[in-house]
Amino acid sequence: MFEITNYQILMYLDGVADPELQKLIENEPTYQTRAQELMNSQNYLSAQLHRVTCPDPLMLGEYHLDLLSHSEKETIIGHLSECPHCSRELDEIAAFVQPSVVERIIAQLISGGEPESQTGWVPLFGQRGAQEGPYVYEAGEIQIAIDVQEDNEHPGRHAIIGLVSGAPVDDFNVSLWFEGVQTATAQIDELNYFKIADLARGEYELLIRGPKVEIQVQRFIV
Amino acid sequence: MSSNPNPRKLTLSELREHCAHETARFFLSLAEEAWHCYEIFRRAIVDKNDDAWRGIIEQYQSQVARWVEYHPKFKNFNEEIDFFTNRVFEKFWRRNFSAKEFSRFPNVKSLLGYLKTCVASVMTDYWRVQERRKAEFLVEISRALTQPDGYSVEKEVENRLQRRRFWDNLREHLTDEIEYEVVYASFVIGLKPKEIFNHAPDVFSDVQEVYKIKARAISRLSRVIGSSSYFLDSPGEIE
Repeated sequence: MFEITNYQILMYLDGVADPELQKLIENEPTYQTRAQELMNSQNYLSAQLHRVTCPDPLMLGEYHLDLLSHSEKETIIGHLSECPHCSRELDEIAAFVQPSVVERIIAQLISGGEPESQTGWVPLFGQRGAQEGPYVYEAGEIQIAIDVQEDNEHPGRHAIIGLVSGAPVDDFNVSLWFEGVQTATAQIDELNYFKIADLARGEYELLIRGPKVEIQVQRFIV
Repeated sequence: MSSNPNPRKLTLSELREHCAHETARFFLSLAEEAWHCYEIFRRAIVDKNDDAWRGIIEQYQSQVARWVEYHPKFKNFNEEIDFFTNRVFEKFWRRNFSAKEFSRFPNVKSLLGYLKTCVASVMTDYWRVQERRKAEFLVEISRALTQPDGYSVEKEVENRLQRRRFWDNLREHLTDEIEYEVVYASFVIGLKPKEIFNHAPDVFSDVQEVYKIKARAISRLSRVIGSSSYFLDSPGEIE
């Protein structure tokens, strides 16, 4: 019987040993012990050394943004040529940093709950419910006015009517959130109004989303 | 700068007020630049002004949270958005730009681009840590697998340096360039012998040769780190 060497056991562990060798190793407890030891050694070295020479991801990001010195850049280029992990991560970072990710603006409440005469804002919604609103929020040039009404079609429920003004919002849509869950969506019409009906009382959040920007109206009470 | 009065002459609280308004206009593409915000960044980074840095966090926290939430890896992690948001600002702060380096950021757009890069960096870093912990778990040396807050930017920098030292020590025990390449490709990059052979078919006669070199190196490295119970007590016969 010939002696089985460690390289053959490594092949066995990788599942590439020929069937005869595989059978020998599996039937001999001494080889099984050695296989286990070799596997432990491999796992240990992998855990300690895996990607040990990879740069901090921020350095990959700075490489993408062209913020590195010439020598740092050369180091990264050299590393990328041999490390598929960092090449992949660089692609991911570059894709994420593209300005396509939606920017978020928090709308500031500039008035709400007071009589219209004090807010200086004149509602365009016709008959309003007597008890609340309008809430007026501002996000840069954009103004969002939200009015709460009784929902005549759903007795005991409420509806909100909103008006978005101050900037073109043709491609914008609206979503209403309650306790972190989206409960309704609406389109902004050609006159910049939106309406969401059949709402229970509660504290909501409103998101007005456009192609590049999202306006968040936090803590909105119906 | 086009703003009047000069942002450099304003108090921090005045700057913050202007910046809040500017940011909304800037994101809506209604303003080309946000010079008051830029000045807060400058004071925070160049002057190392803590209050200005707090102003930056307050102004952009929500935006950073949004980027974190949108990051493709976020849903894979069992962490709150705030956890990563804090790490992002920590990462930016620890970068400690000099005045000369800061001058490479000509406007707020470039600074926000860098902040977003910090988001990508933190998420990527965290991903690497998770992957490493899985490997550590295999050999039961995980120290922080069950600790959800076991990650911090500082710890990770320290860990990276420690592992780097470990690797530098091990390298000294590799006999030649070919053995180095096999160990590097196997354990640092994570390639199988067949992949190593396919990458350099002119260096090795066949895949078996790669296995032989790898086995030899494992045995020697195991002896070098003999104090660890996870290494071979008796490496066995080496060809």
